[in-house]
Amino acid sequence: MAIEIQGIERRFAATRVLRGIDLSIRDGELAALLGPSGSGKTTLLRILAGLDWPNAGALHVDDANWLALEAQRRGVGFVFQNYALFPHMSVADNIAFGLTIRPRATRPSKSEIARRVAELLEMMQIPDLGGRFPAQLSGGQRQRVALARALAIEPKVLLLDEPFGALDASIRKDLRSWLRQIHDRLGTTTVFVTHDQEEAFELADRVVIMSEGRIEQVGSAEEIHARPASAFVARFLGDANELPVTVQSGRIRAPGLDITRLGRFAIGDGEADLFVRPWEITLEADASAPARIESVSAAGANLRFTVDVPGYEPPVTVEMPRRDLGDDAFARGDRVRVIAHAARLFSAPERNAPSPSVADVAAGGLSAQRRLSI
Amino acid sequence: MSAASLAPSIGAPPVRAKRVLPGFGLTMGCTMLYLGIIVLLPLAALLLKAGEVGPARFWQIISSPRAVAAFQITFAAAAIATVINAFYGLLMAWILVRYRFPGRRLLDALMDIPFALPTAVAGLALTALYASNGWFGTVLEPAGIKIVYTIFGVALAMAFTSVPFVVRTVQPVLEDLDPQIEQASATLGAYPFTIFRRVVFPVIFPAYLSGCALAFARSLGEFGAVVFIAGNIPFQTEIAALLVYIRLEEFDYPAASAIAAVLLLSAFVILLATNIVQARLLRYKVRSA
Repeated sequence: MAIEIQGIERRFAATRVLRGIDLSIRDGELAALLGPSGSGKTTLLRILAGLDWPNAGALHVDDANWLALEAQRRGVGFVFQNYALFPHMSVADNIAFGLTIRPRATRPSKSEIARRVAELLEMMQIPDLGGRFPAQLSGGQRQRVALARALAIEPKVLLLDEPFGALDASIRKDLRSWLRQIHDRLGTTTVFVTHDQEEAFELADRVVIMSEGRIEQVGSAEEIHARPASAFVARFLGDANELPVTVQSGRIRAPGLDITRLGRFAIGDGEADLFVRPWEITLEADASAPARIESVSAAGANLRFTVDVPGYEPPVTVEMPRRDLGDDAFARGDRVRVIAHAARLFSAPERNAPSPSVADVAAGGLSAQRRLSI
Repeated sequence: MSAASLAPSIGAPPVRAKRVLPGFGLTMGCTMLYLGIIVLLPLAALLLKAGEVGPARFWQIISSPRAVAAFQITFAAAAIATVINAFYGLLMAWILVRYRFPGRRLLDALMDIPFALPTAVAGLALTALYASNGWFGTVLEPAGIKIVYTIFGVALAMAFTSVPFVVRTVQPVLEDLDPQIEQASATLGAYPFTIFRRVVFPVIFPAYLSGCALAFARSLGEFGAVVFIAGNIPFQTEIAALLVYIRLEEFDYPAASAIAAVLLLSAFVILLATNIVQARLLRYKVRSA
């Protein structure tokens, strides 16, 4: 089932939680909604499930208008963050619930339901837990029961809200690859919400990065890492030096840094942020350079340097392979030239405007940042 | 520190886990003493007094036509009151938990009035309202509905004093019910009535049952509110608690305590049975397998 989301907006009182979401999710895709808390990702998921309703916009699934359908008739499997299992029912009854409540005409026979429950317990690798109550299960087991309950109705779309949020790190990794296997086996279009980028990039075919009720970027892990669409995404991915620079008639002015190897950027004049990852920088000994090595530490096959470049705060982080450095590795206090080989540049409207009000940043700032420039 | 003061600690047993707050012995002792003096001693005295007369006389007292009639009226009225409260109390708890409206907190506070109000005052007020010249009585009596001096009046007074039991036991359980459980039911295809029948009601049922049992037990012993509205006509509206009072007035202590003992045992059996049922229903909360 392909999901088509157009112009979805949602307001809670004066707060605009979703500010116009356009998104297509392909049939059989496993998509992640990734973003910090408050970015509106869970609200979007709840709108897909029919647990919340947008103030504007359209939602179609295989050409059916889902905004005209109540939750009960959409046939979605929804897995809640805290699982929301029925405490008074056994695991088997929990899983069977969606089938046993059907009207007599469409309800499978008792033996058929029992067979389906057994099959799902098997698939979830908890075949012996059918008789237990939710209070007697571990977090990971509850998660599996919640998923089995959602899958029992053979959902058109599977939605998961922070599916691994409440679990230990080790269990989380196991369940992640296991969920991927289940998805590949069933081929159900699946959308899950997470704030953990490792989880999103490892598990999903495509990741939708959201911030403050908007989509910042949609793409595969490679696409997003290679070409972050906005300063927000570049910052959110983390692990990059964010260097404030000025752009004048298409040229970057970054005193103290060697940026001659960077290509030209199509970006308007003014203040901008240059995002350079530690391994995209090399150092060269240069006694006349203003930059000085502040610390050296081992990072596996690499050496990690922090370099104090006057005019930039905090110090620039650089990672170079040990192999390339040989024996004459740099030492603390050495003067070096800092050469950037690749970078992403985004204009920084909040520093351009003399003193923007909060409303200006919220309304106009983001769209300006979105102009891709590399 | 001298060697002598150190000596005992050398031979002391190994370190044992200490409670953060000491005094289990003291607190338990006080509790038991209080329970003994205020609750258990009078009950024991009552049972002893009732036992003094011997089984044959005891049976004769409680099976006398007037006593049997009083028991019948008491139990029937308490049953009517409990049915009313079971319905109305659940509704009230539901409204207080599920909806936000102006005056909700006031309504919530009003719910405790039957507990706080002297029951005699409640009885007087009800009698004044439902008497043939009262506000409700002037409307109801021409329509052929008589409340005062009938068993319905008795039931009405009982219902008034016992409704908080149902509301106050159901309310917290309903508040704890995770709204996501209902949302999960909806995504699985359940409509509101099914959600209530299959999910909400089973979860609140143990507390609901307990509230209704408490209301019933309380109604069995209600006295102050009932005597004004009942008219206390033997074989018609005379309740068991009043009969106890009458026997006391006649200095017939054995008869009074025999009838009281029956009331006491009935209430005890009802509460015990409810607790057993409740424990069975709540097995799912036990963590171990």
